[in-house]
Amino acid sequence: MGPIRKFTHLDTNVLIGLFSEKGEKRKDLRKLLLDYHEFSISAFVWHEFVTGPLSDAQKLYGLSLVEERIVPMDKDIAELGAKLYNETGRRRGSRPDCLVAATAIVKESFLFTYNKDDFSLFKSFGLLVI
Amino acid sequence: MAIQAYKSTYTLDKESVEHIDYLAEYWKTSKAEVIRRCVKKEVDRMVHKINPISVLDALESHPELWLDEVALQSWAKETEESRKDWDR
Repeated sequence: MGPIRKFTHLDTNVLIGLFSEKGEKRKDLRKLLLDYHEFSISAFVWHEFVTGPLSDAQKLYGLSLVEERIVPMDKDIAELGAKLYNETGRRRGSRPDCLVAATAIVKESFLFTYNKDDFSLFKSFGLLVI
Repeated sequence: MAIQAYKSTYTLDKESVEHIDYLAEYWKTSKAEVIRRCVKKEVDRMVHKINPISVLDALESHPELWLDEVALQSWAKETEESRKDWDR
């Protein structure tokens, strides 16, 4: 029996860290990959990522890191995102985080983010934050 | 140089047969050539697919792809702030 694969959604700040001069964030990603995590991202995160100051080559590195797994928003994600938004106080500006969290929950994945505080409210809804 | 050809028999569903017919007509080529091109395209895709670990390896050895920390922090901050502005 092979190793158990783990599915992990990456937040935008993690993808941005790919291009850090320091390389510490790349080490974090490598550690997860060596622990059999498979990465994916929500379409919203991809949108934020490609909004940045990137060349086509850098975008391709980002896409290859997640092996082209970009999860579109569907009915379940939209509805869970709405539930997260409503049940955490309809906080102004929390809608994107609700959708990112909903994507990870619906896809039964971990969420790897460097903004752990912003996502802590969603843990009681099943979000597993790395 | 002539290409060595092999005759093979496969059973396909109706939809696949129709797709091959369509592509042969569209590409103005034989059905065998349609199958050859499609198989080659998929094999090329698999061979050239970059795995995530090699993405990280490549980034370590290509500092020209890195962004300076000021630009990086600025981008990360802008992204975070634009989320907070979502409902404004």
